[in-house]
Amino acid sequence: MEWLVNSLIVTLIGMGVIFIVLGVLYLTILGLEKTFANTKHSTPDLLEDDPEIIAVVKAAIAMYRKQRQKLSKRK
Amino acid sequence: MIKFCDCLIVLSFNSITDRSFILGDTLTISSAFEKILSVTGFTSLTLDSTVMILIALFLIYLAIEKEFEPLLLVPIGFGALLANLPLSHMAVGDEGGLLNYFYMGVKSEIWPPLIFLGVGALTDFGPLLANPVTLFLGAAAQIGVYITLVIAVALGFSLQQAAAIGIIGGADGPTAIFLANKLAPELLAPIAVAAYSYMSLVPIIQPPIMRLLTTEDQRKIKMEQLKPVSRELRIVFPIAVTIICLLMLPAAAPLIGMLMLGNLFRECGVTKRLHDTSETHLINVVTILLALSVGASMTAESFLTLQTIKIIVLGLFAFVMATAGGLLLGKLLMVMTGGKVNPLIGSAGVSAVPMASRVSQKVGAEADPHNFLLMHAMGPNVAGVIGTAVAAGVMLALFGKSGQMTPGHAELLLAKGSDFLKILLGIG
Repeated sequence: MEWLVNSLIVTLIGMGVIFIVLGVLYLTILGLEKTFANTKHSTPDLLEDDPEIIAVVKAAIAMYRKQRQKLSKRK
Repeated sequence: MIKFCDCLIVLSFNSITDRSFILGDTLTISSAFEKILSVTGFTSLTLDSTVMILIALFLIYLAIEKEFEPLLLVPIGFGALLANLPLSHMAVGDEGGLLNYFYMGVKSEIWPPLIFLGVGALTDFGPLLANPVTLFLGAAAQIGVYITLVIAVALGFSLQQAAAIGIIGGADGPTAIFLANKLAPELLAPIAVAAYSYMSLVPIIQPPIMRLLTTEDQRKIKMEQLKPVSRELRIVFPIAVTIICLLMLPAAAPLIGMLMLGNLFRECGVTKRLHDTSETHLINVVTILLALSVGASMTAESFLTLQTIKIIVLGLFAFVMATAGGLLLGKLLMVMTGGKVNPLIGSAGVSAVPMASRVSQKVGAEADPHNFLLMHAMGPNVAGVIGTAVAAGVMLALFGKSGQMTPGHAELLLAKGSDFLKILLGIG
């Protein structure tokens, strides 16, 4: 029976400590959020950042337009 | 004819160091052949080592053919193969052997924290910072660790061994290796293999549990888009986590410290070279060394035991419980927020980044193809990494030698706790 009590205590302590530590982290994040509320938000990396991707997308759009024009002429 | 072939050959080559040769003893062809044969691995091949070689080949097969964590299982399997080929002197414990030197990195707790440095450099804590309540999902998933600990103790493992087995439920290979090496080095090989195998099986293990514990309507819940996170918050977060966690739980310092340093490299924007190295070359090199070391520890004596089977079963149980724990807290959050949280993201509370998040996304998209849960699930997923490291820190604090609390403290704590529970239950 002692093994059960010991392992249950470890479980209680372990889960308790995890929730306390992560709870403190949660409060810290909330506090930091308020502290940095007025600062600029970081912008995610956009496609605009990569000229190669932009060139590929532009070429694809041009091809698509040409094809549409050809199809509309046939009609 | 044989007798003819078996003619006497007198050898007196001083360059050959064998005593019989040096002394110019007579040697027959058959005895020479026997001598050659005796220095090959064939004569030393035992049934146990053959079985281990087959297990090693099976791991390599799983990695290459089924793509189960190939980056880890290929070197682990190959390390096991090298270690079990007789007379190769490549197993852990073979003094002077190459892999025994590599294993010093595990023994000295160098490789797992370095892996964590790379993981930190790879991890984006943005989704967690955008929705910090998901931290608790990462905490809830750790229940799998502790329920498994109780069952493992019931099956006859010591508390230290049970703690090392339970951490498999954290779905974090380096943490499992780190803790097993500290608390139960004799179980390191089966624990590492179980941890990495189940991590690769997350897409198979989790979905049935997720469907069982949630309704169709719950799986269809769409979550609001995550708010943007400021650069300052991203930079301060790893520093704050380090200070808070290590003040509260110094035993977790190697893991959390390295994880957060890696993340600071990523977010601060002024250490691009260090960040690049940490998330690519460093983590790759250390993965090779760590996985080979673990493979080299898979010798027949340490692996072909009844304990290994128990650990494999317990590891699966830990994963199932961890998934269920995260899901149940996810359901609670869903109720508390009036249906704004999809409980499926709770299952990502087990570490296994980013596979567990992908599973949440997949199961959510099955219910509604327009439901995008991936980024929402990344919050609990990275919280799970912190949660598992904290769980390991608790175990080390209770049972380890380097924590704040020595085993003596742990015994005292257990005795006090035992008395308290007895009073609570009215026993004695």
